[in-house]
Amino acid sequence: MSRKLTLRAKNAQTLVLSGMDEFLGSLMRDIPLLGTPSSGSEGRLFPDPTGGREAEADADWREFVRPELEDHFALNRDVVEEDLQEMRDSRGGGLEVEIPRAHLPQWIHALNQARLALNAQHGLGERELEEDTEVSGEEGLVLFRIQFYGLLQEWMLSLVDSL
Amino acid sequence: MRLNFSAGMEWRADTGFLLSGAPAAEPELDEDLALDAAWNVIVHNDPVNLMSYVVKVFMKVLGFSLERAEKHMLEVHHKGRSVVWTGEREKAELYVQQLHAYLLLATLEKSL
Repeated sequence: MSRKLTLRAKNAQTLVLSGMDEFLGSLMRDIPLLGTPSSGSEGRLFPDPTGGREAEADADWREFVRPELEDHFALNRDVVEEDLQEMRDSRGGGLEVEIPRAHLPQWIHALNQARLALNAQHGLGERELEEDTEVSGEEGLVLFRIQFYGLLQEWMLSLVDSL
Repeated sequence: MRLNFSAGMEWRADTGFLLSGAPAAEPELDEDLALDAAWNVIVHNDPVNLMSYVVKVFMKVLGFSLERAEKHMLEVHHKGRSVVWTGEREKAELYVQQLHAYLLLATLEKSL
């Protein structure tokens, strides 16, 4: 049975993302995990402020600013992870998850973390990310993830006036 | 050069980093600044950040109007970088920190 991925308003405070099969559900559960900094992604998630031109300033930044950013990023991922713990099967309609509107900024951020981390780890460039590029295998799956998360991000961005 | 990132920085759980006392209107170059004291905040292109996201970040962090935010976003997209703010170093660092908090690729460099 085909299902339609939908993000709709349940009420004034809550959205429902529904119509997901197990595969899309697994991609959703991966969002907080993918954004966790790793050796392959930390350079992109925590770039140096002078791009290496001032070693001392960059070192200070890594010592004093980066921990604050790490806490901020983790907070966003934690909010998403908690929402995802309530993901459930909607009796034939596929998996669905409720997203409080108040959590949209954290979702948008966590999706961005996941997309940037994936791209950094796999080294995809402008060409691979173009919508009409044909890729297959592992790279194709990575690209599908980035585009799926990007679709969700676009939907959520359209629902917020401000981040 | 030591960073002074704490002055004027305010953390809010709902909105992230804020510059306390940051201008409500679009930030502009302080004309009283000597040229050698001016620093640029530069946003660099990356293939992942969505255009609509970048526009919203510019509006939030830099107080840009929609039109100005779109202009700078397109400059980043087409030219690879855009100078989004120029002024004293301390404030430039705070803007870079805020832009990093939104995962934009931002750096500061001395204005020529």
